Amino acid sequence: MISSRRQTHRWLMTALAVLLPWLAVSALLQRPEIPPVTSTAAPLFARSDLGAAEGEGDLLVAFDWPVQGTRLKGQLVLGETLQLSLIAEQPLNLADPLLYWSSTAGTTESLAQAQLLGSLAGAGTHRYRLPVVALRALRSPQPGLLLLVSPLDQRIVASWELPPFSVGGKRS
Amino acid sequence: MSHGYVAVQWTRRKLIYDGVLLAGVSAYLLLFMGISHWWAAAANVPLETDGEAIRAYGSAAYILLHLTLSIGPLARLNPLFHTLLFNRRHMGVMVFLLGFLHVNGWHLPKEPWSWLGQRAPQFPWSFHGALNWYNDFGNREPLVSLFTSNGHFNDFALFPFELLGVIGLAVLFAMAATSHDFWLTNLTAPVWKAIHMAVYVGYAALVGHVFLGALQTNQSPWLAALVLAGLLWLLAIHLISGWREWAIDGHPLQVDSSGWVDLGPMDAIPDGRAKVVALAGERVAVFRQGSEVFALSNVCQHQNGPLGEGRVVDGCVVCPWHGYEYRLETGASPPPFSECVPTFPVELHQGRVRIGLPPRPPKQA
Repeated sequence: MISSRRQTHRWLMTALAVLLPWLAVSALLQRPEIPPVTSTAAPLFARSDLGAAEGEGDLLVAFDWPVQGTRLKGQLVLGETLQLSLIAEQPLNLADPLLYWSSTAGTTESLAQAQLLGSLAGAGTHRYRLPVVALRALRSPQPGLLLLVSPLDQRIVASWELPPFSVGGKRS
Repeated sequence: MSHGYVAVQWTRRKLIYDGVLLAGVSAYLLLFMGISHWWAAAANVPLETDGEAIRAYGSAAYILLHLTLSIGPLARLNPLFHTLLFNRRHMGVMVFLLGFLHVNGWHLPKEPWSWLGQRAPQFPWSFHGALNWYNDFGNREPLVSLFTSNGHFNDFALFPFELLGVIGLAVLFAMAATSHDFWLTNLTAPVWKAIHMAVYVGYAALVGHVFLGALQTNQSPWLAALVLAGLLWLLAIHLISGWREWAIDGHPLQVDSSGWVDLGPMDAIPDGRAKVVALAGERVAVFRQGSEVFALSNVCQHQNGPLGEGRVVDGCVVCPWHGYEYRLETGASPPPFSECVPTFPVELHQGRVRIGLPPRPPKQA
């Protein structure tokens, strides 16, 4: 290398020797104990136009949903929209699990009419915005089901029947 | 040497180099995927084969990038590593190819098959790359989804690390696309080297891609320790070799009023080797051949390699990087080659070596 390139290289590496260890150690120290939802989730929300759920509003329902030996703690929150949050204590033993809402029975045939809420991959908190039709269904005697689906074989792994509620009331 | 250039100048040495490279990469990929399948079967968990292939190719690219970037400083620290240096560009191109497969997978584009009402043929080893696997669930084009889906720029855990990968891959593409001697010759070595120094920017982006991506979800302390060790290793050898070079560059020799520079006693230069000194802003390699001394620019015209670290064969110094040769007396490459480097007047004065300024301009044989 010519002298000026050597000098550039020396200063570039010195700068990287400060910047990169700082970035690496910060990224490791600040990572949450429970891994965040994988990056697969965000595109799913965006694709389904269900993104930007914030989980603010009145708590309507809190429930526990045992699935595959772990427990999904769920909350339905009514704010400007109806939002569902699910906290997975452990990652599900399932490749790329997807969460659907269905107004009818949880059969494979009904999956075609079910609405995709998003990915349930990884442990931690997952938030979804439920479609308006789900809000209407929740106020009816048939509030519908949450379906946990394996996309590999389009199999319904587990389902959870949502309890009906009346506006203003809380159930648990 | 560059007696005109052809598409690829294959030699037995290059074929062996590339053969070892391909075999090593293939073995790594097969081992990674084989162990993953074995582990999944033993633990009775479903294996996400596309995700596993994405990780195999991504980790192969990341490891090979570390190896590629280690060769330069290792060759500065120990001449044994010069043998890895001469075909290092093929390693760099391989890093780009592995990175590209990590993103794209072994997947043919839908067109032109869709125009004929057909589906694109599948390779037996086909898999979806990261772009389609994580961004093709809905109606948005995967590339649009990649750039618009995640806006958590102020959050380490949710940072859109994919964009750092895009930066790294773009830099690697630029390096691979301009790696041929065609570009080296037409851009000139200093410009070409300056462009290729961007690989360190690409490396920084890829370090961010890994630490803010894979290491946020995979919390194995061993994996974190391994990736951190790779980073520290690369930084350490670059800094050590860089600051050792500074020991020469930081102490340029002074020219006396007569235009000559005293280099010390001739015995201080090993026979058949060179002493490298900094003079007038650049380096000069002063070779001793028995009782004769020659001084020429230390900068090879091909890739600016360090001629002073080369061997002398039949009166020519051979660049340790790629074997370019220059006659000690004239600085010109032997016919039919056309490269040449400046030489310096040398005199022996009371057993001491002195070189003069200005240098003689390079001239072809």
